[in-house]
Amino acid sequence: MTLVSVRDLTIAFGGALALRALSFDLRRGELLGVVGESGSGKTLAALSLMGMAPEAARVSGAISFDGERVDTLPETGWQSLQGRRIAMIFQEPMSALNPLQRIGTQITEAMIWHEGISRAEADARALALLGEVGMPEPQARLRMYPHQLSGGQRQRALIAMALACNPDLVLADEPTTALDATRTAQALDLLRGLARARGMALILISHDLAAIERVAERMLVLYGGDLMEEGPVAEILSRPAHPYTAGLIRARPRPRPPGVPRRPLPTIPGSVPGLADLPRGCRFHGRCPKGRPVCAEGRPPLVDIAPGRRAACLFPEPV
Amino acid sequence: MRWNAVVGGALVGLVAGVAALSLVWTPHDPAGIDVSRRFLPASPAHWLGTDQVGRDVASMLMAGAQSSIAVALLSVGLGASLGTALGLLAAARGGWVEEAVMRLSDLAFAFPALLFAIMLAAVFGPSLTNAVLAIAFIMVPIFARVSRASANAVWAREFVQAAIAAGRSRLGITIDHVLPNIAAVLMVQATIEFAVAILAEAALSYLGLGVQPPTPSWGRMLSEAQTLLYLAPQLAIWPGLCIMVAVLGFNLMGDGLRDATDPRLRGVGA
Amino acid sequence: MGLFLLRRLLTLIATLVAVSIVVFLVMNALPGDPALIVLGIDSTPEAQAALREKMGLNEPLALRYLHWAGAALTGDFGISHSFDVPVGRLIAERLPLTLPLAALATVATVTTAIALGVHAAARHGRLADWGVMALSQLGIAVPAFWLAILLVILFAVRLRWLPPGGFPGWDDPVAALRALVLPTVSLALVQSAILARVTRSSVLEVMRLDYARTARAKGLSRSAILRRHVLPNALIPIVTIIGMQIANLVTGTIVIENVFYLPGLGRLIFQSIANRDIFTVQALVMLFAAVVVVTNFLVDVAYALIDPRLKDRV
Repeated sequence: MTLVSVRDLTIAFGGALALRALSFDLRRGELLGVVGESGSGKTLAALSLMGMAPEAARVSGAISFDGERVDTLPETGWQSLQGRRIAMIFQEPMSALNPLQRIGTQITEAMIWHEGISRAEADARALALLGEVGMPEPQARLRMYPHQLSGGQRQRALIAMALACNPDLVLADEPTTALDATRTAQALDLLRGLARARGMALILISHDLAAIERVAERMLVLYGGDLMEEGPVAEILSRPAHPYTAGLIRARPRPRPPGVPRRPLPTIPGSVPGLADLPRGCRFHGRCPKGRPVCAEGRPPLVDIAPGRRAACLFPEPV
Repeated sequence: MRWNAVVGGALVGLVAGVAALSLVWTPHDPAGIDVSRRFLPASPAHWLGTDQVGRDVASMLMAGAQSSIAVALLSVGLGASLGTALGLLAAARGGWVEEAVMRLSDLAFAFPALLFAIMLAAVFGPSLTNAVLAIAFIMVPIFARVSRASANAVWAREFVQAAIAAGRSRLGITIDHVLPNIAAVLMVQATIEFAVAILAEAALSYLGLGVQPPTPSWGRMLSEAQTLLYLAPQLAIWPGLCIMVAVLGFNLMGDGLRDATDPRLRGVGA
Repeated sequence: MGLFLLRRLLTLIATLVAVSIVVFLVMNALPGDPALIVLGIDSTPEAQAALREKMGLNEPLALRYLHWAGAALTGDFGISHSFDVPVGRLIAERLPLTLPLAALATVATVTTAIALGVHAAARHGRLADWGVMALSQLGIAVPAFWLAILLVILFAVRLRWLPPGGFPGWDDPVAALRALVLPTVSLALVQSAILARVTRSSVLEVMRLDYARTARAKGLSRSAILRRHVLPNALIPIVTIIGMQIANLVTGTIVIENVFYLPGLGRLIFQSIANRDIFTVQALVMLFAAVVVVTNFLVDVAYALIDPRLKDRV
C-alpha cells in the first residue's frame, strides 16, 4: 500500500533547477535510502516532503501522502502532519536541540501539541520512548539539558523526539554525521529496528553507501537534482546500472585485509557541478567514463531495466 | 557604496560644512541681542525668525553646530587616544597589565557621562572643559576594549609572530603592525562615538553643565526655548532637528563604514 | 549555580567598594577644599575652619572615607547643609517619584522593544520590518529631552490632554500617573528604539538556527515556535542590552525630571549642585552608580536563569 507518492517534483531557485521532475513511491513501512553527494537535491526533496522547502524555492509537481494531495496544503495544513504523521531527524544533534529546554520537554512537546494529552501522560510516554531508543538512565535524562548529554545520547533523544507521535514516516537526513563509526552503526541499527517494530516507513538520506546498505531495502540515487537510478539496495550495490552509481560504489572505502598494501581509492574525476552551472542533458555526462556527445543533448529518460529497477542512462551497464 | 554611508556622509558633510562656514560667516551675529526684534517670524532677513531677545535663530544654529562638532572632536579625540593607548598596552603586555586595564574599564562603565559631569560640576563648577572631560571619560573604556580585542587578534597573526621572532620590540610591533591593522575598526568606532558625544553634549548643555553662555549651543537653545513653549514653540523645534540630523548622520556613516569594513556585522546594528 | 552566584556576588561587592572610592576621591581629594566649595570663596577663614571641623575634614583622607562608607552602609549619608536635614531623608522623600518613573520606563521600553523587534523579525524583509528599522534609526538619533519637549508641545500645550510638568504626589494616583505619562514615554521611546533593533537581529539570528527548524518539523505554529524556542534563546543578547539601558534610563531620569520639573532625585542632584551641597551630591552620585553596578550583577544572574549551560560552567 502506497504511503507517499511523489510525481515530477521540481524545485527551482531562480532559473536553476535544484531538483528536476523527481518521481517515486514509498510503501507503508518501507525502508528507503536516498544517496547523493551534497548538491544532489536529496535534502531539498526531504524538506519538500515535510512541507518545509526554503521560502526562496519554487516548488512544482505533486506529493501525495496516505492517498491525499499535500503539496497544495496551506501552512496550517502541513502543521497537522509535521511531527504527527511525518517526522524528521536532523543532522547535528547538538544544534538541532534547543539548548534551553530539558530533553523531556522537547520530546513531549509534539505529543501535547498534537494530541492534547496531559503532561503526566506525555512524560510517561517520553520515558518509555527513551527506553526504546536505548538511552541509559532514561528517567534522569528526561530532566537533563542537551549540553549534559553525549553526542550519541543526543542523537537518541532526537530519534525519540521524532517518534513522539508515532508517525507513519520518518525522514532521517544524515543522522549520523556527528557520530563515530561504532555509534553510527548503533544508531543506524536502532533506526532500522524501530521502523520495523512500529511498521513505520523510513527515508534515510545519506552520502554514505554503507549507511544505506545497513538500513534500507530500496534506494534512490540522486545526482545534480536528477534521479539516476532506483531499485533494491542489494541489487544496485552488486550490479549498478548507472555509471554514476558504479563510480560511487568503486569510491567506497573498504576494509583492507591484513597484509594488503594501502592503495589510493578510485575517485570520480571532476567535481559535483554547482547549481549555477548544471550541464545540459545528462547531468553526469561531463564526468562520465561512458559519456558521449549524445548524452549532452537531452535528459536520458528513466527506464525500467529489470523488474523493480529503473535507471536514467542511455548506456546502462547490463544487469 | 552603501546607501547608509552615502546618506550619513552627506548629513555629516552638511553639519561639518555649516560649522566651518559659521567660523567665517553667519547671516547675523549669533549673540546679537536686539529686544526690539524679538519673536520675529521667518523672513528673508531672518530665515528661521528670531528668539526671545531678538537673536537670529539660523545664525545661532550655525554657531551651535560649531560647538557640537568641537566638543565631539575634542572628547572623542581625547577619549579615543587614551583608550586606544590603554588597549594597545593591554594587548602588548598581557598578564596583569591587561587584567588591570580591563578591570579599570569595567569600573568606568559604572559612571555614565552625565554622572561624571555632575561630579565634576559639583567640585569645579559647570564648564565646557568639564563637559569635554566627562564625555571623553566614557569614551576611554569603550576604545580600550575595542582596541584591545582587535589588537589581540593582530598579535596572534603569523606576521606578528614572525616580527617577535625577529626580535622587534613590543612598542615597534605595536606601531608598525598592530595600529595600522586596527585603524579601520577604530575609525568605525570613532564615527559612532561621535554621535554619542553630540547627544551627550546636547544633554549636558541643556542641563547647564556644558557650553556656557553666551556661546551658542543646540542643547542650551532647547533649555531656553523650553520656558517659552506656550509663546514660541517653534524655537524648540529647530535645535532638536539639528541634533537629530547630526546624530543620524554619524550613526548612518558609522553603520556604512562598518558594513564596508566588516561584512559579518552587517545589519546587527545597535 | 551556587558557586557562580557567589563569585558574581564577590565581584559585585568589590566593584561597589571601588566605585565608592572613586566617588569619594573625586569629591574630596581633587584640588578644591570642600568647605570652600560649600561656603564660597568670599567666606571668612573662621567660618571655613568651623565648617571643616563640623564636616570632619581635619581627619586624614582614608579615615574620612571609612567613616563615610561605614555610615553609608547604615543608610546615613550625613547632613545636607543646604536643607539642614539628613541626606538619607532627602533621598527617601524623592524615591517615590524617581523609582516608579524608572520602573515604568523600563517596563515600557522592554515591552515596546520586544514587541516591535519580534514583529519586524517575523516579517523580515517586508514593509513592517523596514518601517521598524527606519523608525528605530530615527529614534536612536533623537535626544530624549527634545522628544519630551515635543510631546509637551503636542499633548500639553496644543491638545491639553496631559499636564506639561510638575507632580501632584501619590495622594491622587490618577493625577500622579497622568503626570508620569509623558516622562515615561520620552524615556522609553528612545531606549526602545535601540532595544528593538537588537531584538530584531537576535530573533533573526535564532530563527536561522537548527533547533528553530526542528521546532517547525514538530508541526508547531509560527507563534508557538517564536514563543517557546526562538524568543527564549534570543533573549540572551537582549538581556545584555537591557542591562546597559537600565543605566541609561537611570541617568535619563535625571534629565527628564528636569524637563518636567518633577521633584525626584534628578532634580535634587541639580539643586544640590547649585547649593554646593557636596554631601548630597556625593550620596546621589554613589547611589546612581550603585544602581548601574547592581543592574549589571542582576543581568548576570538573569543569564544563569535563562541559560542552563551557564549553571554548569563555573
